[in-house]
Amino acid sequence: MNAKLAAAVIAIAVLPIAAIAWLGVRSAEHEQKLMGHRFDALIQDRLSDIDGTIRKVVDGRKTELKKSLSGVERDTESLREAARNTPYVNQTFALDAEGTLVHPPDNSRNQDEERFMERTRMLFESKERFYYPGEGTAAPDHGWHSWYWGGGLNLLFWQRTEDGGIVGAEVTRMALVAEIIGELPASDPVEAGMKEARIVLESGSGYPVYSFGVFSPEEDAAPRVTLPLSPPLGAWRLKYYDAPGSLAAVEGTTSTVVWFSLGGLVIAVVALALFVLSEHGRDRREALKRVTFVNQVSHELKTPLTSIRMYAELLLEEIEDDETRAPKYLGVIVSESQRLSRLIGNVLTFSRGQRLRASVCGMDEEIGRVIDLHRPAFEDQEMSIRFKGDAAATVEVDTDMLDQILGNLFSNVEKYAAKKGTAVEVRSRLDGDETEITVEDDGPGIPRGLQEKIFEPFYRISNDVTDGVSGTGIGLAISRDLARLHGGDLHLEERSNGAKFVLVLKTPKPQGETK
Amino acid sequence: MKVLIAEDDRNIRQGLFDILEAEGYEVVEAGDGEEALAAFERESPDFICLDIMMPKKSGYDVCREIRGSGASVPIVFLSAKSEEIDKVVGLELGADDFISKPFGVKEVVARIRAVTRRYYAAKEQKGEPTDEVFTIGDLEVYPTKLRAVRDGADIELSLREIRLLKLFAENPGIVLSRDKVLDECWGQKYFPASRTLDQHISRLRKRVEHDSKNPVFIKTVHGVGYRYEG
Repeated sequence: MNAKLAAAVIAIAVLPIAAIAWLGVRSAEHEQKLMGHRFDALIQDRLSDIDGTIRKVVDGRKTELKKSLSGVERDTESLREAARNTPYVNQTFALDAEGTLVHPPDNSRNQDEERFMERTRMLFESKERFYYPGEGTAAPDHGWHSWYWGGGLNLLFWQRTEDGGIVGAEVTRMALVAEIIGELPASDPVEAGMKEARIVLESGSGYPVYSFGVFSPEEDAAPRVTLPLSPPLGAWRLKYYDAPGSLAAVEGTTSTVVWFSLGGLVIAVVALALFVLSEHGRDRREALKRVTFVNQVSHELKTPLTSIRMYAELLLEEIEDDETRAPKYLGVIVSESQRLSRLIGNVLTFSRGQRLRASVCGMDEEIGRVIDLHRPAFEDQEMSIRFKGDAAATVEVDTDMLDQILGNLFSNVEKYAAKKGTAVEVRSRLDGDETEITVEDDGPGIPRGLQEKIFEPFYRISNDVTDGVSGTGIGLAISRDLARLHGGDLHLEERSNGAKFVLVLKTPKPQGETK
Repeated sequence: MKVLIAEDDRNIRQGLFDILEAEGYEVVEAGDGEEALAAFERESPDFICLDIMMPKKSGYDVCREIRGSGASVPIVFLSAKSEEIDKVVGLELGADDFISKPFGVKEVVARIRAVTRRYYAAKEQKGEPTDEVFTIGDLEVYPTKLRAVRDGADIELSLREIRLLKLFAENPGIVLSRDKVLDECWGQKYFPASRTLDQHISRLRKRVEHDSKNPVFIKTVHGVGYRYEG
């Protein structure tokens, strides 16, 4: 596994994950915010409900008071009696149409009334309390008034009489509060969603009038939601407290889902990446196994072949002068074993890539050597082979490749151009750092239009000449591949008769030579 | 000259033995890597033919160890082509040449002769005594180059053939018995078949005689041996 591939796979795996993770987190954050808002809204609604409940209580009181005050005469005795008889009422008061306080009377107040006057001094000094100085709009005919005195909220109800005067009553705060509390849930309600929270009804001075819930907030904890009550208790607030992590639990679920899906995606992508790598690795392992097999087979094949060829040649030497046909038969064994060796070479080359391994040698010398190897076979078929070398210089060349290419070309001539009297001419020419070698015969040649096709692997021309001749069709394909690997090429020159193969190889001067 | 052949295939080893022996070398055999190292220690050959894929120790390892011991003895690898051996690696290990399987007799002979020439050239450089040039008839024979020259044309010869020519050149007009020839050119240790001598003489004639059917240099003295007319 090479570093580049690993880096590419990692990038392919990491980039989408990173992108999706970023999107996922953003989305989760957004979700969380939304959830937070929704939750807050829910709490808000709840508190509004409670506020509504409280308002109902207050409105209930208002209705009562209205009833009570409607029929009362505006004299002190009546008003005092009304105060005594109406529940939740501390004091009553009355103003005439001019806004002058009629009750409590200036001169005969009792103690309670004195205190009442003290409490309400600010109120009565400004008559406009009971009149809306609106532009053209009618003044309201009743209302509440709340103010702070004596450490708490004071509540006062007034209504206009038929003659334009005002009559009103101060509500007993404790009684009202008690009634309100009575309408609210019990202190430790068993209710879903309330477990981890507490709702506090707080007076304007921050005093907790009432609270319910199971959770106990810290000393200076901040409420999650605050809702001021509707008038007349607008100074009071409902505050919702919950444990800092309680929404997080909800949020956490969302996050968990997001992270789990992300995790799943990561695992999927990593698994895919690993699969790709392992497949790639497997391909390489397969290729390596194949190469090792090829090496093994090659060694196995070449060992007995070595003996066959060597002993055939030795035998040939022994009976050189023999007048029987034995030398000729042995010649066949020798040349066929050479051919077999070439075939093995071709097959092995085809099944694995070949690398250029150059050695230093004299070009013509090497070409001559290959020709000499094939000469017996040519002469057996009564063909002549001639070499006109003009590339005697010592150069760098992969002799194995050269041998294989020339061997293939000569073998083709033997196979397809063999006829009594066929002449083969081999020429060599050195041109700079390239050597050109041509193999030309005057045999039947290659049919027009097939000049390129013959270099395709496994392609064999099918005609009277070739049918019946054994061959795999890979000789020329390999030869061209080798030629190209050697920095050159192999092609067939157009000819009217015979075939002329032109081989060009890059053959640089050996390093160190100055010529 | 002594040659060590290390090759695990018996047939190939035997064939190489015959080839090298015919060429005129004293041959030592080894069938695996460890035998090869033992033979190297024991026999101190003048050069070594090493197969690469051998049991017990590969040819690479044997070469590495021999070179590691400081010996500069020429080593020729016998290998299946290319895929078994990276020539650069082999050269780095210290081998001098390669013979690819399947090799022909001529190939082996050519490579061995090249090694021999280099061996003699190295000897001459060191100032050690080597065989001198001699003449026989119109042939000028260069023993250290395994070559004879006539009218500017080169004739390649084996060690054995040079030994034969030398024997005849030193004994002009004298009939040399077959036994004498065998003793001088093969050594007392060998007992080659008598046909072997005939074959060698015959081959030698092909090389050096103008007309081998009517030899001039080496004439047969029937029933006795051979004679160089001088």
